[in-house]
Amino acid sequence: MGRFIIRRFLQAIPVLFFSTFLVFMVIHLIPGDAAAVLAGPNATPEALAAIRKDMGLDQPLLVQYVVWVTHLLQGDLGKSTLSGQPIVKLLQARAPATIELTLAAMSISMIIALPLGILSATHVRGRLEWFISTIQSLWLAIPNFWAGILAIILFSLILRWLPPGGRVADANNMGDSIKSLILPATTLALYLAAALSRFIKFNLLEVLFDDYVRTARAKGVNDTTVVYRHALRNALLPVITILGVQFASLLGGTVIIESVFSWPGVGGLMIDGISNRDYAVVQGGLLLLVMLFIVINLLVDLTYAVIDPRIRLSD
Amino acid sequence: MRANRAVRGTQQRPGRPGNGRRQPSGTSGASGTLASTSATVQPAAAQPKTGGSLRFAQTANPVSIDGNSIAGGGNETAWLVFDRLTQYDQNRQPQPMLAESWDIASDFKQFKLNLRKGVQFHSGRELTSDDVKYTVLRLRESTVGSGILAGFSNWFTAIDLPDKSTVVLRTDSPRPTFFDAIELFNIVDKDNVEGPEAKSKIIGTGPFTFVEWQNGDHFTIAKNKNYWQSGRPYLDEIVSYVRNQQTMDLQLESNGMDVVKIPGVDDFVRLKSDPDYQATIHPASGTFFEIGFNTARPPFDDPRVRQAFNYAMDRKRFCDTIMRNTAVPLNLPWSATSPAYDAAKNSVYTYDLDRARALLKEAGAGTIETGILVNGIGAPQVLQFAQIFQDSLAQIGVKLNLQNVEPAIWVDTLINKKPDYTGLWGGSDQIAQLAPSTLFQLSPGWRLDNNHSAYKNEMWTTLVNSALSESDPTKQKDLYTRLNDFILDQSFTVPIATYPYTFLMRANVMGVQYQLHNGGVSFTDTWLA
Repeated sequence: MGRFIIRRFLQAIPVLFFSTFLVFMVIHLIPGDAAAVLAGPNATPEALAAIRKDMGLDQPLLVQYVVWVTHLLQGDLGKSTLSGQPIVKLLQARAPATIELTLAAMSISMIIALPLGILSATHVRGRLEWFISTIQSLWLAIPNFWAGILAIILFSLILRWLPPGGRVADANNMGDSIKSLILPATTLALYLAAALSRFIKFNLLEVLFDDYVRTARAKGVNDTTVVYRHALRNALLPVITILGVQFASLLGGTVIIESVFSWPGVGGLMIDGISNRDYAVVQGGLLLLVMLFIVINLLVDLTYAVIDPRIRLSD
Repeated sequence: MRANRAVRGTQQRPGRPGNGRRQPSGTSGASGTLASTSATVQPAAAQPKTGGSLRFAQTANPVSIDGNSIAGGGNETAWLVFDRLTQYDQNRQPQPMLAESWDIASDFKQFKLNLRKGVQFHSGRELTSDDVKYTVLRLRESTVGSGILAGFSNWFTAIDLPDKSTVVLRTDSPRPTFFDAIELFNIVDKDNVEGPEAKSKIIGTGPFTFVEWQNGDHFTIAKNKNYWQSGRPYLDEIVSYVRNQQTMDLQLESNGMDVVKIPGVDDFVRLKSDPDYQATIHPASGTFFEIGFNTARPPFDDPRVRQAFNYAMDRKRFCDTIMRNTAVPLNLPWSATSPAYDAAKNSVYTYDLDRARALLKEAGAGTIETGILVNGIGAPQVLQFAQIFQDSLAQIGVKLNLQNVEPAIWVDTLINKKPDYTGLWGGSDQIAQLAPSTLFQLSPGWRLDNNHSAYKNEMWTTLVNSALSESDPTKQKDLYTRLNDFILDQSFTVPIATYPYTFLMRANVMGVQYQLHNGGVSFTDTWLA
């Protein structure tokens, strides 16, 4: 397994370089640059050119990329083109918020999706399944940002139970920290739960009609044991893959929720970076996300082996 | 230095250190304290309380906290860490800050500033004249991103330091608007801005000390216990958040914020009559929306076409519907507090499509299809105006295409006059609260060199230069009249309406003061009831 993990990491290196190279080139193709943002609308062409030179933006693109990679190989992610802050520091400030939100949303979505998926599968064509399907469709149909706004109005403005936005990151004030997480995480989780519960339902349905389940029933095993001990474990294998993909995509894809709830995550940092043409921020953020993606995929593969003993990770 | 008869000023706030006062003998030394002359947002209550934390939110996300960077936040954040040499009161009269008095030569070419003694940076180092000189020169460095401030700094051809408390600034041309410049110069600490923490920590002499900056989320400052103005500030702490408009408005309503800057128009109007909140519009922010034409290209090289477009602007509809009557239509850049304001001239261009049609016909313009370059992120209201404008122009046979671009593209395209800039541009401007000539000298929409409208005219240059150097109020007034007529006739850059800098505050927030720079407010005298 050790060799497997090392091999996977080695395979990730070209992926990292290719993705950063691609984004580097694409973002530089967009008109406008960080110099214009820093200079502001009052700048003269001379001042703009001077800032551009100072930032190194007058160099050929390939040279700029090589400079960035050279620094990277020395363990230096660089500094924000605009604010001058170290990228590592910016990511350190934002990554915990994103990871916290993602983990919370994934956990909530699993807590909701698992029983809903099982109940739907075990009550096929019943009233309960119809009710759950309706809820699922609603959650899938309602856009995240709108659900978020409605949640803020209800729980913050009317009931005043939860804060409408912002993140409280205070170890000495866990109550407020959790409160600040509930609305954004739940809003994000509902959509995930709807998709996930449908996936669980269909997988479970498929497994419930497999021969070994029929055999178990024929042997007189009761329904609960059949579902939870025999069928569910097999039905969850593909779910783990989906969870891994969802988790990875959430790391960079919570921008809308971050915006609605003023959650200071990596997504917002990246969007600001793109908008301000802060190439160093975008590159650094992307690098982090790709690395996390690779680690999560690896974890998914390892989890497979744990859940299903038939799967052996080949060296 | 010639003895100054025209302009000499000195003032003290009560209880400030070094209160050996000289009486003001000139026109610029208005009486009273800053606290009483700067307009407060709300009536002062009986007894200010000390302590407490103020939660402030705005949508603007400063990309830098450098005190000399034009992108470095605003009044309510990084600026509170710094002091300026002087500060205008509500009547545009300079009041002492780090400079406690001044002597100005009658030809307005030499300015002697006497610095307040005993002022310390937050690091504990004493402020000296060296720091002032360092700041003025630093503003010229293009890499600092000081924007219009570099233009001000370049006025000064010599900076002499007779002693550690005196600065003498000299200019080649008369600069009667000297105080416009130093109003915006945050005096920075050389050790800080050249040190390793320059980008993540700021040190000034201001009422609040830097605590933390989490880019894109919040900026925290704490009371400067050694502030030179005794007893100030009242607040222990200010946390300034970056929030989207809707979230910050909701946070205010759910008691998660105390003050929000530029809330949603609908929320502002809705909460205006609610006694739990104070809703105010900055009376002299000097900010306005404007549209310009690429006058270097046909058909906008013909003033009649520009006038026609000016007549086709339905400013009232914009102010009524989009701005919900928080904005006022403008033909000229000036709000009522400006010395160049002229109510009659401000309504020359009323919405008149027949007249617009006739002017286009007279100019032989033919079929026009053009574009308007708008920065929808920086000035979303202008994008909304452009949609109204598009509809109006369609009625006179003109097709207007909206080009909504990001700030980086907008700036680059206009400053470098990129090929795809062929028609109009729309944006906001911000320094009409200062001397009118300052706007014409520095604003990108109006300045003489490389303005966004690519407008050049000998008469314009002569008028602006005359206004810049004229110090006689009567002659100034005459020049402003001529400039106003010229602007209306040439219509190369056209104001649309005031850009109201609105504030929503909870009812217990007291002592918030308007400032004449950047349409902001100051929290130096703010306290929580």
